[in-house]
Amino acid sequence: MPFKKDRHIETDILIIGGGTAGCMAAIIAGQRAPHLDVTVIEKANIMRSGCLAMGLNAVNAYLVDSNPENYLEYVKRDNYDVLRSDLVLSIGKRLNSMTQMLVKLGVPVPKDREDRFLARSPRSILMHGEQIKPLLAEAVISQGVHVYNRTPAYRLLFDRTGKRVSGVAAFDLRSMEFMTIKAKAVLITTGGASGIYRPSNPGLARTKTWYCPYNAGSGLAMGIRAGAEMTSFEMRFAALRTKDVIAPTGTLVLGTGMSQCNARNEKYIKKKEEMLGRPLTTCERLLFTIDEHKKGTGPCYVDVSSLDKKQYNDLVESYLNMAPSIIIDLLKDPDHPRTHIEICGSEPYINGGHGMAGFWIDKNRRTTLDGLYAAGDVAGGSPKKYITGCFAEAEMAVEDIIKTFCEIPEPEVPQKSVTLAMGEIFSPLYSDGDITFTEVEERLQKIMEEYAGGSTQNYETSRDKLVLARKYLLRLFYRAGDMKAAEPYELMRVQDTMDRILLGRVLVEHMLARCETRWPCYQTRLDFPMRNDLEFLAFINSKMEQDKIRVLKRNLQPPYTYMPIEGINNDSTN
Amino acid sequence: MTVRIDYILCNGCRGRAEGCCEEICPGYLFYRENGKAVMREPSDCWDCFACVKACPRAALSVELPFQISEVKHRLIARIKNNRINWQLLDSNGLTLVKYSIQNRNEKSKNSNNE
Repeated sequence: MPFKKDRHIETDILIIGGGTAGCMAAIIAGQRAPHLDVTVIEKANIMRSGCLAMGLNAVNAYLVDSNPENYLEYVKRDNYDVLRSDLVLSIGKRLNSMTQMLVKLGVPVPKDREDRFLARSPRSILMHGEQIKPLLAEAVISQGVHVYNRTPAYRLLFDRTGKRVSGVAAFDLRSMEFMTIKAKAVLITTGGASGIYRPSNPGLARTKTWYCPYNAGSGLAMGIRAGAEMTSFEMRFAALRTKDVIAPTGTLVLGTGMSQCNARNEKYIKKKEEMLGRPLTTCERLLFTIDEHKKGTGPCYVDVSSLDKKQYNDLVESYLNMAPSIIIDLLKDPDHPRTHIEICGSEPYINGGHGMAGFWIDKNRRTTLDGLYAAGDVAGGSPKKYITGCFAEAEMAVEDIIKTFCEIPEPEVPQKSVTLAMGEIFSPLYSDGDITFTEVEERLQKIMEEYAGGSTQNYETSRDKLVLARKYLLRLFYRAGDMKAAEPYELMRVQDTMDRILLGRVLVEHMLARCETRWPCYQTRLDFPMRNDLEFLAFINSKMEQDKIRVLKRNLQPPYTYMPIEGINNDSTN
Repeated sequence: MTVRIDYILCNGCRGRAEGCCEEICPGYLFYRENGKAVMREPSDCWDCFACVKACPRAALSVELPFQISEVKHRLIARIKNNRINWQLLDSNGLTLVKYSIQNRNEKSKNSNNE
């Protein structure tokens, strides 16, 4: 099915990806710059797209009895000091006002008698967020923002100098039209990436993942292809979840006050915390759960047998607001609800909202590409921002766009680059190749799982395995050009798969460069099992130059100068 | 199977340019064939319930894939007047439990698509 025709649109502010950050950016742009034309393009349908499609039962970054400085201290400790303090602090200052935005949108956020939000922890409050995404989307539409649903974007477009981002190339899944959208300012708010590692569940259950399985990281891949600097891909994120259905454990632990125990009913997390005299970091909670398995005292559970009927009902309601399908299992026998809920680690993902992989940005959320901003899960350097942090970044990006708008030149995209992008996006329709996207996706997941520290490898890897991963991924990257698509849906899947392979390649280069173990589980090198503050209190970044991934190292402190990087042969096989 | 389609209830959203499930699914997994909704790849379903909540005929429900559960219960949700009403049904369609949760603050009704 060849494409029918092409369509060219112009706008002032283009937002790529209508998820958490993208919707908030569109709302704020509509409110504060009603004279500007704002456009959102979205791969799915903004009513239920991205990470919030299911709903959400808590705001995990709200400062209850805290301040932005304490928030920074917490994130810093949890992240073993490697993060962009400037970005995290700027987010911290806006977390609470962003929570108020949610209330204004109509999301029920319960309060106590003294008019305070119900806290689960010093940084987390309860929310009945089943409708969070439709509410955001309705607010976007009511601002008069143009929304193009079912329009996955795959290539950035540049102006005549080839330096300034001036738009994006996409296609309409329903009409199969090729689309270009030219804009004066482009904000990328797409998701991170799932589906890079082999899923924990087999067959029909393979997409019971923590992260939205439709997040292919296409925004990151677009940036990489265009030469944007990326940061911290080696810090993957894996979540501690309930087993099989992969529902949140925070709902159990923070929501009910119950704690994790091993097969012998020992509270292994509490015990560790007492031993170390401090709270565990997020990745340590995953690490010590895996340790129980290694010691033969697994599996691990959250024991909720001491909850009374009302408390158990609250737990069920919380899950219905965020991860409903676990209820089918919990209430399998409604007279005897399940009380020992098994927990495990999810497959790893690339993500900048919990982890910190993403575009390297400045304080105004500008990427290293002129004209391109990034916010939310694609913006790197600031972990643990969650939805309110994603909103905050969207607000900061839009503020800078509006402030500098009069200086921005009219966008001009040469026809040559439009034709090139069209060719790249549509080529799988004309391919006479012999492989399917499913085969390629599964090959990618197998390589990543076994050589680049998947969950079945306890997230561990080492240099020689990574070198093999690099070699196999490169081979796969070229062979994947033989993927064939017969219709729009397949074309999207083929392009998503190409993007995932590219992200896997960048991830492996980053993992090779960090010769230490900074964040156990998220980034474990068996050949360098300790942290090495002397060498690696620094950012590992990368940039694509002439089809090669070049790894860079940046100082932890502003102005984040480049540092020499040793032992990395950038030009070998990659 | 993850999303179960009741083909007696499903009328393919006759008269609409797209079926409600087809319109809302974040994975673009639905299409229509012979006037009924079809899921192109059940193993790509995230169990997000977007289609279940959007279906005007209550024809859709979610069950766990056999690979992770032998139980054939299914969960269904309907949205009405700022509330979402959940029902867990057994394999015979009998209601096991019900939950009703407020999902919007203001009095304005939920949009039809939701």
